Amino acid sequence: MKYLPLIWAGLWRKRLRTVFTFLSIVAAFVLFGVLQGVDAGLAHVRDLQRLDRLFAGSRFGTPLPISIGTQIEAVPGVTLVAPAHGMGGYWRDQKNGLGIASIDKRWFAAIPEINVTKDQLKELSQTRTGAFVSVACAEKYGWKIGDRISVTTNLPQRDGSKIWTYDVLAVFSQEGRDADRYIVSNYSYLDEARAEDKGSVNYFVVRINDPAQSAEVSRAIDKLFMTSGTPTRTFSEKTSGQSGQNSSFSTAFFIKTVVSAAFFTLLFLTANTMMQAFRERIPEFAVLKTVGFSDLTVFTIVLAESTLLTVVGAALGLTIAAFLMPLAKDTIGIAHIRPIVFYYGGVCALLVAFVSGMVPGWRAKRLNIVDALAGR
Amino acid sequence: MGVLKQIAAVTLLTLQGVPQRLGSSLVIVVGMAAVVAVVISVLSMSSGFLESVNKTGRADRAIVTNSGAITESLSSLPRETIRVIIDAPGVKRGGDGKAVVSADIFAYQPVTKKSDGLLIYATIHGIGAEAFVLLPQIKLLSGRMFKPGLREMIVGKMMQSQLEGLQVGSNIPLPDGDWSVVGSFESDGDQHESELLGDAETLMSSFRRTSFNSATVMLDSPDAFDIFKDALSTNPAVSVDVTRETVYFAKLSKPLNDFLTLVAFAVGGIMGLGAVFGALNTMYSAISVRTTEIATLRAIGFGGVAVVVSVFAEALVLTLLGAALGACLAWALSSGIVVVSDYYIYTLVVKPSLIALGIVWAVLTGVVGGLFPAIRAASLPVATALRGI
Repeated sequence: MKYLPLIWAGLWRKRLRTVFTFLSIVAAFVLFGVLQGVDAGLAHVRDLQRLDRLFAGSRFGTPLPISIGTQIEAVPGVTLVAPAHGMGGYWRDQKNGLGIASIDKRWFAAIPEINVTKDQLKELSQTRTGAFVSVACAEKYGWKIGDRISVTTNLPQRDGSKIWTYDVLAVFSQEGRDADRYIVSNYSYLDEARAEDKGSVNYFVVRINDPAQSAEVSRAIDKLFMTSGTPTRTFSEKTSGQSGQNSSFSTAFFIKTVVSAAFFTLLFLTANTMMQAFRERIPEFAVLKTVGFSDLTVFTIVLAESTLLTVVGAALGLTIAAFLMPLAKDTIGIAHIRPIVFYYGGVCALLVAFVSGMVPGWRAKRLNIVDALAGR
Repeated sequence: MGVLKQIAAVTLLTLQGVPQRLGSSLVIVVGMAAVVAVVISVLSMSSGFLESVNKTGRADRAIVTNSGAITESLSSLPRETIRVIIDAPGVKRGGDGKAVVSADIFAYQPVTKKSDGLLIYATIHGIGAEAFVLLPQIKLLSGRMFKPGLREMIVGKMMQSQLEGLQVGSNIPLPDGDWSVVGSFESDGDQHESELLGDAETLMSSFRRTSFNSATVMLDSPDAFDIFKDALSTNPAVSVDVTRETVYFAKLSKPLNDFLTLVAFAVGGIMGLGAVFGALNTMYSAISVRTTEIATLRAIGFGGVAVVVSVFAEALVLTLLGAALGACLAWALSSGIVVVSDYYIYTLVVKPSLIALGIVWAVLTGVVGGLFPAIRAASLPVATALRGI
């Protein structure tokens, strides 16, 4: 600790160089934070997806009779079947898109991650046009409990109108899907009011008792309806998630590869600059050793300098990234950087500090005072 | 003239000294290369996507959807509406007097990607009898045309090359049984090349649908758009949106394009800042190494301008070298890569304009990175500098 002023003085010896090096470290770690933030966020979403939750949809996009739910229930391994009708729509303007899931109370048993209270569930069952809206919807469109919202869809009601009205009863959050804009409403309302395809849904959420059996149960369900008029296609949430988000993943993967290469280049260059700075100061270290500093102390001072610079730079960079992240919520769908990213960032920073301080530090430790003072 | 000669001499001298400062000069070159490579690769995605999507649209074609529908596939048009569209003014009529209109339907089927075995949704596009007058760019490559009424489709060459099981002669299971692929086609690199085309009526009965999704209309001329649009929007019997095809596809490609542009400029911007700081460091250290040299030049009569220009020249040469390296890297990395995603398949394209952008980026970095060091170099007090203090 008593060497802190010395380390500080060493850093400020060439003010501009230190500032620029520091700023490039900050830039590199902003990049790191944002990139890993997105990556860790997507990975977390994947982790939350379950193998023991299946989605049985229509193989060809034709409507499925709600009655086949009982047949699915009879498939061995199935513990719960929740019928659902999903559709897209928008609020006021085409850019304000959202999804509408029309369901009954079994939905909440199948997806317990949706946090709503018993009282709210009761209220939904008693309010025909009631709806729970996701946090993202509430934030983006400014909806509050008690609001009445009109959503334009593609599904006509009996009077021909494609505008559906809902009363907001609750705002719900769902871990890993905090950027999804959708609302949950009563299937009974949808089915009673719509003009066509009454008594049908477009998918069933199916819970099974053994995640290891997810592929077998999926096949058994599809086999059951293969020759019926309404063939199904069943995926576990995990596999559907993987193939459904496949397109954004392939884009993300490409960007990630390119950008991580760039991050390491940036770090490498910064380390290179720091090493060069130390080399120029070899005679100074010789002076320190002349006045009695031990080899180890000189080595430690060099390492401490590089550590201070990179660690503070990394901390600032990651902090900036944490503030930038929410801005990209709409385009990327990840609102927060997960703590693990800061941990990785810290490890990365220490690694850079070590690599860039090690070589010059070693040289400073080993240097011959007479040669170094003479500038040889 | 004297000033120019001085500039040339000092610049040459400076550049000859660069190899001696190789380590720190590489910081600029490599840093710039990384920035330019990233920006160009990411933008090559968006330019490839835009090129393919925008090619699909023509100013003398219009797309009709039900009012409020965001895309063709989310739209629904009953037969009566199609009849109104066919009779509307502004629609081009062929030699036989038939309106050049195709009533379209869209369906999506999961198909396995050749590259990694994952499923993606492939587009099945049902078209009307007039579609080949409407889409003259479509040319058969192999096999034959599908016959209306039979369960037959033709496949775009892009889709065929990227997805499994779409060779001529193979079968695709649809609700009413297996459909066969009877031919393949190319269409000038537009989005139709990543579609399966079949007869709309036959596909409609297969998918048990009662209405079409949308209609594509050939106009008398691009100027006939307003006549056509007004006729439909003032007709109380129908409730439709009419969009010029070019506008429709520009709107369709906007979200992905915006996203990629954001990524390119955000990432490029952050990295660009890092590169500028790196360049500043390098240039400051370059003039600090050259202190005595610069002071000597000043002492024997070279002007400040010559010194400033030489520092700028060094920075620019290094950043441009880096940019060239980065552009080559990006080209090698991304050019020709095919992105296969749900609904869209496209090839990455490194356009000359992207390379120009990389060069502009490099020049900016060079100018900013060279400016302050150049000023310092020119304002060195000669006497002190000569003493090497």
